[in-house]
Formats: sequence, structure tokens, C-alpha cells
Amino acid sequence: MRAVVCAKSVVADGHQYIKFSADGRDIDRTYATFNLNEPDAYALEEALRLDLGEVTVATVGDTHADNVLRTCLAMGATRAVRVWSAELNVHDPIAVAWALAAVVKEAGASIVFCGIQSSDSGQQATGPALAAVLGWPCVSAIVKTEVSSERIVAHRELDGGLIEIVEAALPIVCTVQTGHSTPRRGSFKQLMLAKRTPIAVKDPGYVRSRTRILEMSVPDRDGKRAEMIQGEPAEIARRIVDLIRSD
Amino acid sequence: MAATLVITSLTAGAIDDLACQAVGAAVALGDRIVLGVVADHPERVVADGGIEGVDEILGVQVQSDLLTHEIEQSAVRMLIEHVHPASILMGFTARATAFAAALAYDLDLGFASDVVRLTRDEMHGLVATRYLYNGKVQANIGFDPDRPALLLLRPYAWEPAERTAAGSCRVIGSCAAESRVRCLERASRTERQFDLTGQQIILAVGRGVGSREGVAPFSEIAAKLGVALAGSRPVVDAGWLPRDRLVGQSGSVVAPRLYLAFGISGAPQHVIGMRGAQTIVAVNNDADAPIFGVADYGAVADIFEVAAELQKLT
Repeated sequence: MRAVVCAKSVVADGHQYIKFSADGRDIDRTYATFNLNEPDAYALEEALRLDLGEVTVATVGDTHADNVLRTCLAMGATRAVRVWSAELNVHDPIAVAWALAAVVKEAGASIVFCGIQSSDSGQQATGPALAAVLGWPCVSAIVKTEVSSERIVAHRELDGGLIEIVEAALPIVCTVQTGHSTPRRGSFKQLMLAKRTPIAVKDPGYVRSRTRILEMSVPDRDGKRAEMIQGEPAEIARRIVDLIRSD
Repeated sequence: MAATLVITSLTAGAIDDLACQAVGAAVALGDRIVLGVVADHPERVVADGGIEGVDEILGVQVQSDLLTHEIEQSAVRMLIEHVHPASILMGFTARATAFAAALAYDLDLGFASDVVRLTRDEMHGLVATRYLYNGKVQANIGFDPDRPALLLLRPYAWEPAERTAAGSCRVIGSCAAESRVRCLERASRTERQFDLTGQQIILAVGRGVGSREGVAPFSEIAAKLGVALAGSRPVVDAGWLPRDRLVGQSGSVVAPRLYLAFGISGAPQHVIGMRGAQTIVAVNNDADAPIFGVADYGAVADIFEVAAELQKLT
């Protein structure tokens, strides 16, 4: 069996110097720091844990995404492919899905794992869109999987903590939720080997996108902003206790 | 006249808050509003009440005990193909995202999820706004004018339309679609022993507590004040709090009188769970944390220093 894991190189959490590109339609990625999207680490862990066969890790992104692919190779993926074209709208999950589908077809895979969402965009859309491009079913928000004889049983965690147990035949796309396993870390030796593993770079071919970014900016939040409590921690604590005791 | 199709929540036995919020959003767009109800008995759902501003209610009948997200997708597709709307609005939930982007691909629609604002622009037509990069960037998204757009709206980012007395629903058909996915079982989490939903005051901790040991001072403060302790997803995923203390999209959705958020950045999946609180107070050492756009009161401070002061007062 062959599996593909889709991984995203995401703008890291925490303090970031955000600079916008000249046309105001994206950020200038030279100034950002990236890491592996956390839900995708769980997706890769699931693919490796199931020990299904060859695991290809695929990403859509510019050269900054190579680091994330090497992290995945160090974790145990067999090979890595990066899909990129300067015309690709990376903010459109359906466009990204078109690009990833090309890799899945070429890999001859029958199962795909993606994180449920990216930490830097969070639309929960790429996995389901990819399944549709491939003509496969998608099962999302998975916390547990069992795969045998071309069938999958998956536990899904839905709104309000509802658990749904579903089953389906392969081929299938699975999107994986965080928290129900511990993604392995590659050893130093695996990381060194990963650094020497060639990464195939593909052109996405035909991609259809019906959306475009008009503008990116610092949020204006419609003036919605908390009333900030000034002062030392003691003052902050007093205000909190006042709020607790008032009714 | 162009129509906006609003899809109700497909799990509730009744029209939910997110549908009222979506209708509120639709009213602002100015098109005719059609409410789509997918249920065992759509006419019974609206007999309990409708939503102000809706021009027409249409239903698709499904068998809820056989329901899967593939059948939900087919039912929503039936409504879209019947109404031919210019836009389709749904709430941003895990149930909706299970199929929404797949439906958008299949019907060649524009698509955006976790949308916080929707406007119409002379130059660009429909414009959706959403956040990127942990709330640090706002993106305005335009859509191909020749295609309808499917939009999932961030819960509680919208003023809801009022509920009305009973509505009437025309059932356009039954969804007879096959599902490639079969549901074996549906259950609430059995580990859920503590019910956060009825709590009046909740003290929640996030990734900022740093470790299991970091939770301890907040746990003590909560106990002394007689308030409920909760956590965001990273805290629960790391095992620092049990899963029944999770507030968020896949945990409890709470609406207490007072929500105290310590070291919580304000990721959408958490905010969905606590946005309904009457008063939100956030303490975080990152002045740019998105939680400060949601909270009523905020303090940029070290959460442990504030905890130490709270311990003195309690």
C-alpha cells in the first residue's frame, strides 16, 4: 500500500515580524519563521503508526517548505515532494488541493493523511477538497484509525465532543485531529540522512481557483478591543476578584 | 432576484444560533433569503419557530439514523441546485467542514471558511474577510463573479437575526444519495464527567501555563474561589487537564457570566467555545494575542504574577 501525507510549512506561532508584500496581497515570507503544521505532524504519525507501506510526504509551497519536508523525512517518511508555481494561490485550499492531487495520483497512493487544518489559516478545507479532486471520500477530524484489507474504521471528534465511528473502503482521504498520539521525533541520524535526501519539485499543472486575495492588512477588528486593565499584577488581580464578586 | 441560501445546523432538532447569525449576515447582503433545512421532518423543525428576514424556507428530508456527512453534502447540494443562489452561508463547525470544501469543488463554487465579515463592493462584488497567521493578519477575499460562493461563518462573529413564531417549510424532496462512508456509532464522550456548560464562572488556562505544574496555581485559585477550571486544546492535548475540561469547538461550548482566560492566545477553535460568555477577561503576556479582540477586559501581564496576587486575595 502507498500512503501520502500532506504537510504544510506554516508561519510559526508567537511573535512574528509581519511585513506585507509590495502588492499588499500577501505577506513577505522572507521575514517569517516557519515550522511543521502541528496537525500534520499528527497526520504523519498516524500514517507511520499504521505501518502501511511507503509514505510520501507532499507539500505545496516555496523553498521555505523544504525544511518541513526534511522534518517529515526524519520522522520516517519514505520520500518527499514539493509542489510549487509562483502563480499558485496558496491561500485557496481548493487550488492547493488540485496541486496535491497530482502528487497523490503519481504516487499511486490509496490513502492520504492531512492535518485537520493549518495553524496559520485554519479553514479545515484542504483535506475534503483534495478528496473531491481525487473523487474519493474524506473522513475528517479523526482521532483514531484502524486500517485492514482496504477498509478503514475511524473515530471522529466532532463539535461538542461528540464521537462518531465510521467505516469506509479505500481509497480515502483522512484528516487528523491533534492530541491523541505523540508524534515521534526523528533521531539526529535520521535528520542528517533527511538533509541529504533529494526533494522532488513538481509543477502543479492545471489548477482551478475561484477565489483570490484582494488585500492583506493588520486587523482593524471593527474597533473591538478589550478595555485594558493598567497597572501591576496586584491591581489586575483586584479587578478580576471584583468582577467575580459583582453580580 | 439573487438569493442567499442559509443552511441551518444539521444536528440540532431545532434551528440553532449559528443559523440566526447566518441570516443576520444574509440580511446585510441584501439578496432574497432562503433558509434550507435538512432534517427527518423539516416542516416540524420550523413549526417551532423561524428567523426574521427569511423570505422562504425549503426542506430536504433525510433519515437521521443513517446520516453521514456525505448524505448531508448531497442534501445541501439538492438545495443549491434548486435555489441557484448567489451565495451559500453555513456555520463554521467540524460537521460543516467535513464536506463543505468538497461540495465547493464538486459544484465549482468560490469558497472561504471561518469568515468574520461579508460585504458587497462596487468593484469586487462579494468580499469575505478572514484572519490569518494567528490573528495577526486580516485578508479580504474576492470571488469569481460567474460562480456562487460557499462561505462558512465564524460562530458568534455576527449579530443574529431575531427568532420568529412558526414558519412554514416546503419540502423539495428526500435525499436518496448513497454514502461511501457508513456511520457505525455516535456517542458523547464517556470521559465527560464534569459538565462545564452550566457553570457561571469559568477560569481557563491555555498554552501559556507551560506545563502540568503551571496549571497548579490556577487550579488552587479556582477551587478557593469556587469557580470551574477549564483549558484550551493544547493544555488538554498535552494531558495537563482532562478532556472534560476542554472549552472549544470539539469540547464544551460555554456561556458563563464570567470567563477568565489565562495564557490563552484566542485561536478560533477556542473562541468558538467561549464567545458566548457575558464578560470575558483575558490575561496574556503577548499584547498582539487575538484574545484581546474578543475579550471585554484585558491585561498584558505575566499570568503567574497575576496568579500569585490572586492567591493572596483568596
